[in-house]
Amino acid sequence: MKNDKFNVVGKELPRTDAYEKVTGRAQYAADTSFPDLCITSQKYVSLAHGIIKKIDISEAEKVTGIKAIITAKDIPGKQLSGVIKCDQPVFSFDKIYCPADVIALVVGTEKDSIRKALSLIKIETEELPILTEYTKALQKDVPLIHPENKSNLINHYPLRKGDIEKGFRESDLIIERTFTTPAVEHAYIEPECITAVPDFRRDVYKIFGSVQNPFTCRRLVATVMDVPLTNIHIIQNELGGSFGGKDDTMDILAARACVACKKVGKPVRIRLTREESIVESYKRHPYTMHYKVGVSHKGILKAMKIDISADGGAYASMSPFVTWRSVVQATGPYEVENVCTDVRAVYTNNPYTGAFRGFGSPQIIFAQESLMDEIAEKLNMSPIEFRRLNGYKQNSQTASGQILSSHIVSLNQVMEKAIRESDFNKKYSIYKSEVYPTQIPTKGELILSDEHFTSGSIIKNGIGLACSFRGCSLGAEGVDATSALISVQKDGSVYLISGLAENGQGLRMTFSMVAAEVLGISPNGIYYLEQDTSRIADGGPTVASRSTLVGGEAVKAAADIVRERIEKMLISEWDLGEEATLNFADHTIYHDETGHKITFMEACNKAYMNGVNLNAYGWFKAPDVDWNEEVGQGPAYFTYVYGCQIAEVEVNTGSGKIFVKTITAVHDAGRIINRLGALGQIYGGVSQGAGYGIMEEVIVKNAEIKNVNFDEYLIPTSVDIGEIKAFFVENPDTFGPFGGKSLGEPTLELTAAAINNAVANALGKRFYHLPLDLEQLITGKTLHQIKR
Amino acid sequence: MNNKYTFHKFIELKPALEFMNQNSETSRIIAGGTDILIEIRKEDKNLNPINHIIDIHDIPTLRKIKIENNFCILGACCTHSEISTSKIIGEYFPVLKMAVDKIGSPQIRNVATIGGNICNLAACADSIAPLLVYDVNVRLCSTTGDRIVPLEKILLKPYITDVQPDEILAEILLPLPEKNWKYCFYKLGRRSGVSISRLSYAIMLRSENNTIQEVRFAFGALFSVPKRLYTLEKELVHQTISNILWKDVSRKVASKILDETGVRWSTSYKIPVIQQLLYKSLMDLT
Repeated sequence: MKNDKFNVVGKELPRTDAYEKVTGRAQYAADTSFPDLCITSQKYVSLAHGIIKKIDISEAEKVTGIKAIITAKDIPGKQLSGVIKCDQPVFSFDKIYCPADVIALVVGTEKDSIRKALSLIKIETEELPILTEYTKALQKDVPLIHPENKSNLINHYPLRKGDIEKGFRESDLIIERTFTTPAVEHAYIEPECITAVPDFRRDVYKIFGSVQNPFTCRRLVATVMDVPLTNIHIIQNELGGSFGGKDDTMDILAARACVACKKVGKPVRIRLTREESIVESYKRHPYTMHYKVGVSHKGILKAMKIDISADGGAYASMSPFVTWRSVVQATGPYEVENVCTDVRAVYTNNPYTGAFRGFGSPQIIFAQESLMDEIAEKLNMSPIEFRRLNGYKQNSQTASGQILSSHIVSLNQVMEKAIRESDFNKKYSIYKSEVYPTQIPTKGELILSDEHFTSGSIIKNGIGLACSFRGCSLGAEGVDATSALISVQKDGSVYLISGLAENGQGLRMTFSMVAAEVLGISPNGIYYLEQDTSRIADGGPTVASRSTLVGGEAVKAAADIVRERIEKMLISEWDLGEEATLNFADHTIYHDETGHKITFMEACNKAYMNGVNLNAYGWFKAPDVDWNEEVGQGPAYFTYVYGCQIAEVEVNTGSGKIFVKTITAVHDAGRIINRLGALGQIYGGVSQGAGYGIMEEVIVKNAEIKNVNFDEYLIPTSVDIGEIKAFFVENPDTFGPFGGKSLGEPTLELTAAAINNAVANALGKRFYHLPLDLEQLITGKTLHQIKR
Repeated sequence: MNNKYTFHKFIELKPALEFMNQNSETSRIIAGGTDILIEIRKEDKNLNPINHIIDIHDIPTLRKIKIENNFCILGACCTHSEISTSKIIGEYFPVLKMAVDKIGSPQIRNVATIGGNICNLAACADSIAPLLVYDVNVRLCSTTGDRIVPLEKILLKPYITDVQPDEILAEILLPLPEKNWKYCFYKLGRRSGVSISRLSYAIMLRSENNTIQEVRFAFGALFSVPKRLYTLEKELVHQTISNILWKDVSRKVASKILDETGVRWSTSYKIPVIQQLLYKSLMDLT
C-alpha cells in the first residue's frame, strides 16, 4: 500500500542494523570480551522438591584455580526475586522447588577445575513429595509448594457478566468441551549470557547481556545487591531472540553474576548451554480449559461458562498477568450476554511458566475458535456466517463490559479480506464434501481389517480460520508509560534512544522511522544508542506488543519537540508570522508559500549557533484503564487490534502428518510504520504458531524436562511451513505514532487454532489437544513422549 | 575433557589400519563426525576407554564411487551429498539416492558418511534399508586381511555392529541391478527437514503379467536394526498382485514387527501406520 502522505512511514526500508547482523559484526552477549574475565558453572541438584539440610562447599573451594563459590550466603540484599510475587530464590538456600533451582555458582578461569569443584559441592537434602498435575493442585492433601501461602493458588480471576443460568435456559444448544495445551519453549537462537563487571566506583556494577527488559533487570539486581538503582547499569547487547523469554531468567542470572562479581572483584560471566537454557528458562503455560457454551437455534451466543487452570510451575513469575489477559479475552471477539469465567494459575513442581509471545492468548484462542467452528457445524451454519453474526462490531460490548467505541472495530474487515485472499468459502465446501468416513482407526485392534485400508488418496486437504481481538499494551496490568530521548547534532545527525529495548524485532528501525518522518530525514541518519539504563528513564518492559504503540508515541513526542523548536527558529528568521507551518521532507525544511528553504543540516547548525536546544525527552503515558477484580468488569485496555488467519493444510491420513500449505494472515495493526519489519513479524509469528499447533511440546516427567536440546525439542524448519500470505488492514488509531499499534503477538496467537479448524475440515473429526502431532491424529491422543 | 583425546589424521588406509591394530581398544574412528562429536560432548560412557580419535575422512581410496566387474564400489567415507550427486548412484541405485537426500540437513549431508551411518547403526539409520534391498556386501579391512560379508550380517543390535575394533569398513559393494525393477523409498519424519525417521522402508519389485517375480523389502526404525524380510519375500514369488495380497503383506509385516519388538510406547501409532503406508506404497508401485 502506497501512502503519499508520508515520506518514511509505511515504506519498505531495510533495517538500519541489517548490515552488522548479516555480516556477523553485531556483538551478542557472548561475543564481548573483558580483561580478567571469570567464567562460571551453576550447581543444580537433581531433585524436584525437597528441604536443603546442608550446603558444604569446603572441598570444592580448595580446587586449584577456583576463585569463589557463591551461594545465598554471599547475597548482600534480598534473597528472593519475582516481579509480582517475590517467591523465587536467587540462590536456593532452604528449599528446592523444581529441578532448575541453582544452589551455587562456581567461579573460575578454566572449565576443568570448575567442573571438578562442581562435583565436590555436597548438598544434603530431604526429599518432599512432588506435585506435577496442575489440575489437581488445589485439591486437599496435595503437597504445598510454597506452604506459607497455605494453598497452591497463585491467582484466581473471576469474570461475571449477566446471568449465566438464564443464558443457558435461553439456549437451544449447549456444548461442553475440554481443551488442553502443552508447555512450549521460546527456542531463541541465542542462549542466555550475562557478564557483570565491577566499576572503579565503590558498589557500582555494569552488567552486559542478552537482557530483554533492562529496567526490570536493574530493579532485581539493585535489591539483591542492596544498592541504589543508579549503581547498577544494565547495558543490553544485541539480543538473539527473546519472544518474552529473556525476562525473569536473565534477571536472576544477572543478579547471580553481580553477587559473584562483588566477591571476586573481577568481571564474571554466566553463559548457559542450550541444555541449561531449556531447563532453567520459563515456558509457556500449559492450560486446561473447560468451555460450556449455549447458543440459540438462530445461532446467537447466549452464555459462556469458562473454567481455566494454568500451570504456573514452581514460581509465580508472570502468571498473574498472563492469566489476566486470558480472562479478558476468553470469550474471543464475540458478543455474549452472559459470561462466567474463572481462571486460576497454580503452583506445581514443574518448570515455571511466564511470559511468551501471545501471553495467555494462544491457549484460549485455540479453545474458543475450535468451539466456534464446532458450534457452527452443529447449527449447519458456515463458520463465517456464525462469526459474522456474533463477532464484535463497532460499539459492541466485551465480556468485561467495555464498549468498543474509541477505535475502529475491524473484525469483519480482516475476516472478509482473509476469506477473499484465501478463497475460503469455495475451498471449505469442496474439502468438506471430500470427507469420507475416516479410515484412521482410533480404537481397537492394531492389525487392520480390510475395510480400514484406504486405496485412494491418503492426502486430505482442509482449510480453517481463526480470528481474535487483542488488548494493546499492558492494560490494567500496571503503569503504562515510556520515554524517548532525541539529540540532534549540529550536522543534522541524530542520536535516538527509548525506554524500551530492541529484542531483535526491529524496534530501533521502527523508532528511527518515526523520528525520521517527523524530522523529514532518512532513518539512516539516525544513530540508535546502545541500550543502557543510565541513559534513559525507566520505560517499563518491552512486552505486550507495546513498543510501536507506546514507545513510538514517546519517540514522536520527542521528535515533535525538536521539530517545533526548529520551526519556531526558522519562522522567526524568515519572518513568516506565527501561523506559518513548515514542511520537513527529504532532509530539507521549506515554506511552500514563500519558497524559503534550508537543508536540515544547515538548520541544525543554525540552531546550534543560536543556542536552540535540539535535545528533547519525549514521554507517553497510556490513557487510564480500569478493572474490577471481584467481578472482572471494566475497560481492560485502551485500544484493541483485530486479526484473522486462515490455514490450508494437507493431512496424510496414513501417517497423521500435517503439512501447513498456506497461511493467509490479515492483521489490523493500525497504521503500519515499518512495513518490512511488520511482514517479518507475521512470517515469524505464524511459523512459531504453526510449531505450537503441530509439533512443539516440552516433555516433563516427574517435574523434569526430558527434551533439552533441539534434537528432541522440535520446531518447524523452513521446509515445514508452506506459503505465508501476509496482508494489513490499516485503520489508524487515535493512539500510537501516526496511528500505529500492536502486531507482534497477534501474529502467533491465531495459527494453531486455524490449523486445528483446517484439520477438522479435512478429516471431519475434531481435536481438542495441542500439539496436533502424528500420534494424536492417528491414535487420538498425544503420547507426551520425546519426539524425534 | 580437552586433554582426553589425541587426534590422528590419516590420508592412507594402511597406516590407519596399523594404528588401529596397535590401539584397537582405545581408538574410535571418526569420519564425518556427526555422531561421535555428539557423544563426545555428552561424555557418553562408551567413550570412557577411548583416547585416540582416528580420522579417516580424507583417505582418497575411501571416497571413490566407481564401477568394476558388474559391481559399484562405494567408498565408505563418501558423504551423503557425494552419493546424492553421483551419476552412477543416480542411474543404478535410485532408492539409495532417495534415501540419502532425506538424511538430516544439507550441512549434515555434506559431512556425514555412508560408512558412518552403517557403523553407528541407529535403528533409524536411513541409508541402510536401501542398501539392504540392493543385496550389498561390505569390505572390512584390517592388517590381518580383508573380509567381504553381506551387510545384513554385520548389523547385530542397535549401535552394535560386527565390525571388529581393529577393522575399518572400507567399501560397500553393490551388484549392478537389472533395470526392470520398480522401486520406492518412504521416510516418515516428524518434520520435513532435519528429521529423524519415525519409520522408513525401501521396496524393490519385479513383476510380469501381474505376477511377482521377485520382491525385496527392507525396513528402518521399525525393528531393532534395519532389516530385510526374506521369508515373506520368498512366499510372494509367483503370487498374483492384488489389493488383497498387499493388504495381507502389510498385515504380515506389522505382525512381524509386533512379534519382534513387542508392545512399546510407539506401537499404537506405528503398527496401524506402517500397514496403511506400506499398502499405499505397494498399490502405487503396481
